[in-house]
Amino acid sequence: MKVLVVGAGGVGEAIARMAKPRAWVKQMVLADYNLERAKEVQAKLGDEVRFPVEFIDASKQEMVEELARKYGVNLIMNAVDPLYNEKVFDAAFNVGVNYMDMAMTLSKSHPEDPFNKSYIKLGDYQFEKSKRWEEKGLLALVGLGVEPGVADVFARYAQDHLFDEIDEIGIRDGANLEIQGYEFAPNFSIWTTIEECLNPPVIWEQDKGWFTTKPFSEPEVFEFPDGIGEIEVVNVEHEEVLLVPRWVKTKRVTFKYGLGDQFIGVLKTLKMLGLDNKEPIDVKGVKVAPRDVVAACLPNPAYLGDKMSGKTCAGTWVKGVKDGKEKQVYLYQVADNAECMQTWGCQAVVAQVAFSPLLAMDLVEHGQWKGVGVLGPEAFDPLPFMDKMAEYGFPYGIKEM
Amino acid sequence: MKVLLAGVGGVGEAIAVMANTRPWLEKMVLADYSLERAQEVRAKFKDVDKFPVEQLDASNIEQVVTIARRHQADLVMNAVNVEYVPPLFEAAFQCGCTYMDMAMNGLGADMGKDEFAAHDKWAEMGLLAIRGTGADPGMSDVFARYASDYLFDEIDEIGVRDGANLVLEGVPFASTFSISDTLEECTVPPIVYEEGKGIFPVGPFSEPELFKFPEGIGPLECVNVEHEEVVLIPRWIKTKRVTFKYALDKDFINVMQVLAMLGLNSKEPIDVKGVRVAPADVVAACLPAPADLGDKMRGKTCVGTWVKGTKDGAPRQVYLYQSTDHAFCMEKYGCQAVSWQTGVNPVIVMELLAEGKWQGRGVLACEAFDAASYLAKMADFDLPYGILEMQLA
Repeated sequence: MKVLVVGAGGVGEAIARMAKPRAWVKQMVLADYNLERAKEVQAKLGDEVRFPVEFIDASKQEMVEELARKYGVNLIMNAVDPLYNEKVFDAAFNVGVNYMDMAMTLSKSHPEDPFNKSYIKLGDYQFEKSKRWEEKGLLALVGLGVEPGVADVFARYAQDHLFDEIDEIGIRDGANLEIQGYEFAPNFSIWTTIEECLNPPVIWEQDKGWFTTKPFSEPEVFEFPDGIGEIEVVNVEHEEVLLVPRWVKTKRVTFKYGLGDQFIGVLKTLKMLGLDNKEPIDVKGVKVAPRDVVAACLPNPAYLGDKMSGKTCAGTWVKGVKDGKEKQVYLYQVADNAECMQTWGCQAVVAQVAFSPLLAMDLVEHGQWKGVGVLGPEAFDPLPFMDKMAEYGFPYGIKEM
Repeated sequence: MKVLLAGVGGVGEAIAVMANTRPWLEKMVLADYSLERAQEVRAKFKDVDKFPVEQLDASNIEQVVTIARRHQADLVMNAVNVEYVPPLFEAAFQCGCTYMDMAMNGLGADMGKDEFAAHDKWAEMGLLAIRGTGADPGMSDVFARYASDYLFDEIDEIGVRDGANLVLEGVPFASTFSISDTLEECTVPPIVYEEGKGIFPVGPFSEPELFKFPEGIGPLECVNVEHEEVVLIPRWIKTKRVTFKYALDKDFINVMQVLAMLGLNSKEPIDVKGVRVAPADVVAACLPAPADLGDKMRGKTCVGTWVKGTKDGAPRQVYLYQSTDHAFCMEKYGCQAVSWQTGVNPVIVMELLAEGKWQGRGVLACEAFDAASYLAKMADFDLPYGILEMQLA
């Protein structure tokens, strides 16, 4: 398989590092807006033939297409901020290659009633084009990181193997990571974090369909496994809520994230000041998006690995009935930073996101996952995926609650 | 008097509006980085010849000198952000102009150090620079000098206290004053002066105290903030202690702390997707300009100097203050209260210079001059002062 990775940030680097020992990955092109960054990753991999580098501007669709054609890739792996999803997604379609991403096209809030009604939802742009992808015999596997991604595989697994009937599927994400030497340093793309945390969170219910609430709503204390412990989690806009109900029968889907008071406070302040704005504004003669300035001020999460300690947990809490009895389980994956740093030289959060697209490429390459159209991870058989998780270094756990 | 006004933001506008009412003003060049903004302010005046506009990059000494000479300016009035003090100060010297500003550059005890070091050089040339001529610093320093000259035999403590009950309607967050300067003063360690110890740093937002502001503003929690008076007052006035406290509400402090934590208070340009930009400038660009807040504001702002000491053997405490009502200065001058209260003061200083009541050479500040003649002018400028004799416990 030949892959064009668009974006060689923290996650892009981790995908490449994990791909290196897999012989079926014939070539993986590392393309980034910052060519120096791509070269830096290439130097760590030590193989310029299998991992060539290219400059790319992901906002220019023709440039993505050109690179995909130049290398004759089979798949475009989108690892940039979801702002560019439409371009990268359409580029893959035009070139006629498969596509994967780890976050879906962005939402737009309802113009009159943003905190009650959903409007343009995450992935709408992509799902609307599913038919065309199908007709062309192409596969777009959307939302395949850890969350969304592994969490969705867990939901499908719960339906297929653990429950007769499901009442609620709640993705719960929490960590006890600490970053030494920084008063404030997000462990994931701040651009994406601002986007998902400040947009009205979306919820799905059987009778109501998709609807929205206020940011940071419905706080709840969730006990995370493997020593992470109790963390307050709040509603956040996330892809699983859009993906799970398309393939898994349930009455309700939510996503809650353990952000912490400090983080929520910072996000609220950025919002109040308009610093979350992703549109360029005039600043003393130059055009710049305030959100990009916030990102530029903060340490790059790709370089925080050696200053981080602790664990991060992604998982799916399923409530329902089995054999006439009420049942609750939490299916999860916990990544330990020290371990990830030792094995992959990548920090836990990005490593945990990166292994699943590679695993999915493996399944597609070897015919275990087959499909055409625009599909989420829950459209496929969860067993081969979960069977391979331990081999990829990210074993899952199931906790009976 | 011919004045080159560098910077026509909210305060610059107020300076021009007040100067326009005075007979001694021959010309005031409205110079701004944004020519459009300068033109917008000029449109307020009937006698447009008196207010020529110029596009000015205040960091460019040569450009400042050229414009000052073109208009034969006697005085360079600095009304831009504090980071442009060095080029404007130097430009004023090069073209033999008097120099005035309303804020000092430099950190903590070093505020104004570089310019004061040039005192002899300026004095020898017969030139005068007056630092810190706004409301605070400026009027607050005049109050300190007045107290020292007329109200006290001995002073224990001089504490500048600044507070307001201004309300902004329909604006989620705004700074009534240059956010760039506000960020600077709120995110660097505050300073305190004590006899024997000199000037020393204290914790950010430290020593919260409830101060009862006059004229219906009422009690507000004030905290230590880095400010010029702590450096200026002890240079000319004998006192055991000088502090500056600002009534900042908790939400405002939180915003300042978050911005500092994220590095968004930085004035150093950084690379952002191919362009160079200073984070503090981006914050400023995201917020409404203080000059545009006029119609959304109501309430009063108060700047004053709380002096504790003894007079005729008895302990005494007074608060000398000036309180500005927003509705009043909006209606009469079309300026918002905070900008206006700041901008009137340098015009009073210009008038005292024009009339020869204030004279001097070298690099000085308001405390170095006669306070009584200043106070005598205030009411005439619609800037009446009050003296509150405080109850002693």
